[in-house]
Amino acid sequence: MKTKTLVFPAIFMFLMGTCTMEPLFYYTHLEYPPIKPIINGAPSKIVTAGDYLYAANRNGLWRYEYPYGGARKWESMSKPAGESRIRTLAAANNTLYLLGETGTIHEWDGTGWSGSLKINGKIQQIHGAGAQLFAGDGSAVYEITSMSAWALLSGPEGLLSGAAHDGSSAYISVSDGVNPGVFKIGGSRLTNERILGIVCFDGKLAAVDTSGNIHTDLDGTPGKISTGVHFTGAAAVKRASVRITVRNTGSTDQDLAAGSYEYTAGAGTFVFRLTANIPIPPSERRVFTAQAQADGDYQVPEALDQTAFNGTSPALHADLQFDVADNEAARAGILLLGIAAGGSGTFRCGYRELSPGGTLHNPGDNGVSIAYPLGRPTSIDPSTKNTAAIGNYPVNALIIIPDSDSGDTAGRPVILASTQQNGLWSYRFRRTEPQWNGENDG
Amino acid sequence: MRHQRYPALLLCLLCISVLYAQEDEEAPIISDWSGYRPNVYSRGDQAFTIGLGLPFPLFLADQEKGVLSPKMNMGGMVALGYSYFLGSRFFLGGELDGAFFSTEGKNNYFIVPMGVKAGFQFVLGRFEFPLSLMIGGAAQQRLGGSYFGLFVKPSASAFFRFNPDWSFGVSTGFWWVPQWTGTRDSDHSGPVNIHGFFIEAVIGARYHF
Repeated sequence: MKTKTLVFPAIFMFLMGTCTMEPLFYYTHLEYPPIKPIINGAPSKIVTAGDYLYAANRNGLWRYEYPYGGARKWESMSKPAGESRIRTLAAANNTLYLLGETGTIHEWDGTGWSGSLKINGKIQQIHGAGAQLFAGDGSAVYEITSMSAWALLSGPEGLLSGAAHDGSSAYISVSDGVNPGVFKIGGSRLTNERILGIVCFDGKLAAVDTSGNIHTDLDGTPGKISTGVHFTGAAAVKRASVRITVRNTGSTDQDLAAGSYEYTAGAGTFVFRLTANIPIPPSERRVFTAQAQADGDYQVPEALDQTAFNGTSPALHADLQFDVADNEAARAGILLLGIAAGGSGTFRCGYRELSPGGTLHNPGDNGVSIAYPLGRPTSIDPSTKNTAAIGNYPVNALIIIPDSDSGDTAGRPVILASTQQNGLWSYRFRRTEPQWNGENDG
Repeated sequence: MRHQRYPALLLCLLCISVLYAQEDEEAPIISDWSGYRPNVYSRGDQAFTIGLGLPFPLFLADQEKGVLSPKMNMGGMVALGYSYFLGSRFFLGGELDGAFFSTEGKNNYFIVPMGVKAGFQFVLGRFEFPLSLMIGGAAQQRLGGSYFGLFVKPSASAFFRFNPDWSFGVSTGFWWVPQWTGTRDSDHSGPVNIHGFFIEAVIGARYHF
């Protein structure tokens, strides 16, 4: 009898001990209904080229002009002639590439599909890193230059899974096959693990492997974080991305040059040389007019050396200097890691964050004070670091772009996630409340 | 000749039986139990209950901010119960429920209440009306988060005794589900103690033994 009377307290104590004791009602109260995703199914990687974000599912292709002044809506694009199905996308040198079901790589010149390359009809993946494009057929890896393929003769042999550029060198990862690992192009193999994806994180190279480990600083002093969580290959780094327009403020306002720049989070002082395609500083995630006067609600970042633009003749080749240590978002340098279906532990879906210190956090619990703290996996609320949701879905790819909307949303991020079955989900804080999948919602 | 005697014999038997019948009507038995209604239940009676129902989220009550919308939709639930009668009216028992709700953000909230209960039952003919109070704990889960805490449910039911073994009926219960998780942040944001209130409507069957 005494044993029986202890059963219930024992069960209760066990349950209390195993529960995370989180305020579930509070989180639920902060949820917002999502709008049906515009891009449904299982979207591809989300890539950026120029002022556009691109995403595709098997049947269609869309682009999203995200800088200030852009359309800021998903627009359907035509597929290359002869391609009824899309396998994946990649971007390199600010150019979009599409891999069709036929194994052909197509190049988008901004207005149409201008070039194509069919290596052997067996290409399965394409990945871009900086100005370089790579393609893999499951065994060999090719570098694509001017729509010509060059097989990488030594090193990688297997399934190409990712590519990244750390500012000076390109790297590719191979997930399976005879010779998996991370390879520096023109250099050596950095690891021989089976790597699902590779990104440049905090100015360093990071990768996730098939065993749920995160490899950090691969090109420096390698470290490995064993997580037990099965991340997807397409982990993404949080990026500062803004657009600068150089405007001649003479008798008639005239935009002389404009461009976007995506900055991989880090810290330090950066110097950019303006060209006709102006690099964008890693400052606040806003759109700037690179002149003394702010444009509307937008401000020129304080660190911007505006004297280069003063006068009647903007100096298009002036050096711009920014101290990104003033930039909270850049200083945060948080890596977002998408979680595949069936992940172990508490997190079986959504995403988690890896801080520069090398520790994993629940989204929003990274201890970094940034302008747009993330909430729970599938949950974000910019004011209370909780809530809303990318849905309880496994994530294939993640990316953050600045919300170029005016008013209170300026500078806040839009997080986009390719889910494995439920379309391309996005989150933003619009006006007074979070909004899901509202890119085309005015 | 022999066959002609049978009708006469049958007629005599019939008359005798009619006479006896008339005697019964004329002299009814006066029962000592007149006006006594025997109890259907007695100490030691037991019952298992199984039910399927629809739980409705009513509202959330934040200890500081007042009433909040639960942002949950009507859910589904299953309920299992056991009762042991201490006498004809009072019973003790236990209950294990399971319920789910879809949320406004297309997520799911799950709750598994469990606990002991005590109750009182009215009986009117073949209708039985148990009232009970359940106190226990509830394991809850939403996305990757979970909570285990107090669960209190007063409920009222109406059952029809279909036969000695089974009765069928409906019940409703009111849930109080507090989540005590801490204090408000200094900027008055973040979670604090919130109480969830729900109501359930269940159809069920009871097996008596």
